[in-house]
Amino acid sequence: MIRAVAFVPLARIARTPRGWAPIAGWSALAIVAAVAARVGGDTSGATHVLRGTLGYVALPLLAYGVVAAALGGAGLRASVRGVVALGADPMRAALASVLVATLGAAVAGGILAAVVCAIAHGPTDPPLLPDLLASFGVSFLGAGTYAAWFCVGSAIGRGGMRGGLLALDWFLGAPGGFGAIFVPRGHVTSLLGGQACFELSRRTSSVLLVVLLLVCLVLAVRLGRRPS
Amino acid sequence: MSAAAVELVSVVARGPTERGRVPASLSNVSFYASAGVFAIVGAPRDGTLLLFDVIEGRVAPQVGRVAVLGVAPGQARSRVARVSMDAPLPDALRVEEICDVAADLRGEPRRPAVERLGVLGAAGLAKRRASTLSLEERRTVSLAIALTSRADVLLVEEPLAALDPVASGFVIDALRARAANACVLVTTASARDATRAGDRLGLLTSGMFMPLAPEHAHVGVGADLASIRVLVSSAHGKAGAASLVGALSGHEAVLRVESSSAPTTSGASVVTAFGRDLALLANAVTRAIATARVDVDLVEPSTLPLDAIRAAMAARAASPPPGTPPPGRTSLPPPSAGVPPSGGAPPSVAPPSVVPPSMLPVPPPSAGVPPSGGAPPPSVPPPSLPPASVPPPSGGAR
Repeated sequence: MIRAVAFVPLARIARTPRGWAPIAGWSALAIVAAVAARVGGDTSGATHVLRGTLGYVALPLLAYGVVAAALGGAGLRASVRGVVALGADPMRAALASVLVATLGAAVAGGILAAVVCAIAHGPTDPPLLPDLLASFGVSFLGAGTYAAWFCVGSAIGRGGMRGGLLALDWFLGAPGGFGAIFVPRGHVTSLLGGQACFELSRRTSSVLLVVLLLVCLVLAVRLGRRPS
Repeated sequence: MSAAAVELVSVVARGPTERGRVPASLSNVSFYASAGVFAIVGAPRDGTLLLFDVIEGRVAPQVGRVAVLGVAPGQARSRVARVSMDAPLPDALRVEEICDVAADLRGEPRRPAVERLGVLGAAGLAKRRASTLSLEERRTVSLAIALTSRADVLLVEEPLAALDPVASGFVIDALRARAANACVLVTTASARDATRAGDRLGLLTSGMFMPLAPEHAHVGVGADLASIRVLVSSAHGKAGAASLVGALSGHEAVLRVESSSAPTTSGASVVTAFGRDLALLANAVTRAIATARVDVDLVEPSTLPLDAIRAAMAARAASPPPGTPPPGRTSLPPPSAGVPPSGGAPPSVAPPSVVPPSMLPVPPPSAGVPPSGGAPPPSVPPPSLPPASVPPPSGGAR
């Protein structure tokens, strides 16, 4: 059944070119920044671009775009109404949509980070291969968490809170603040080489990011299974 | 499917609150349904959508018991198919893929979409993307998928909405054919549609449910209930009336034509046509008037008494009689009107006194035994119900 219900969000992503535009746009922004760093001779270009343009702007907005594409621009409950009407269990339908969005964003974010790292890599950056793998892993986790975070926003009301949670992440996510513990931005920035989130170690930040991902997944599914 | 497929006992439920709208509610609703088409007349604000939500397990009743195919509604979800008014479909898929997904979700073998859609003559939609379908096309696809599924319970909202009489007949035939081995519950705001489609009838007004006598299903079957009266202008005299009678007599939708020999005070002649189906009859009368080339003063369809009952129930819900407690369970008629005291499980609301006696359900020969020749009336609980829930004779209201 999961395969059948997952087919719908996958088809949405694959067959809606309009949904690709924001994904392509924000990816292009990060790549352009990486190219600029390389052309400009930045000796630690990968670090700068990853924790700057990618971590602050491209990664959250890429995840936002993937969630919007997977849900068809609507709220989570509205997006699963079609399969629920065909007999799918609402919770499983919501779970499938959230998982597709989360995995899609994670893969896209990881690949984008690896590409950016490879392009902008400078002489004072860590060795390329470990840096490439670390960038992929952190961005995979970060983009996935962002996607789950936005899925929660999509499951509130008619889906309009997706933008609200993006704004909340911007306001609370400054790495030094206490509020950054509860949103993805502080942890992602910390793991990409930026300022530590509320003086927490990077290991703690990665654990909290995983916890945040799981909490958001559960919350989104629970909210999304209610009738619209 | 002889046992009750859907069974509600004293269900009280409240729909989700929406901004600016009074939430729909169900007040002490009891009925059961088995194989056949059970048509429930009511609008969404009366609780028809909420009723389906409760049966589907999306909304839990506050009070009462709901059983679908003998289990809790949530456990029978894969055996229940619902066709909503807005017929949501997965927008990114083609119709043929939607048919496959629907089969996978219900654990059924996949069948060619053309074959499934063909039951409603919609095979041409198989290659279309769902996002390109109009509302009517989406509803057709949804209904075709539901009809060709193996679901044991079909919940259909407004099956005849926005359909012409010919397409309506097509849909009704398909629903009836499917109802041979499934319980088909239909809700509609149109009393005419309900009587055309349903083997059994019920009214849901302001959350109150009232079953109706089985003979009121299928307008005109055996009783010529559908009729249209035409006043032929006095300018044409009896010759005009005779011409109209002649034109009507040749139409297959017309079972009988009567022409009043005595003209009215205005001198007009009265011609009354009887048929099984009011919509088809109206079509026939319109054509006959054009064929006979007569001027008419009035064309008047028979008024379905269901409308009168609905109006009376709505009035009763809006302004209960003096001394009646506020709406909710306690707004039901007092015990003397045929509803047992609290603690019992009244299966139906006693109808208002304005209800024509002929519209009330016929009591069974004995409790739990259906009348011969058809399903038991909705007011009679199935044998599995406790004896306390068997309604007492509602002599006061009858």
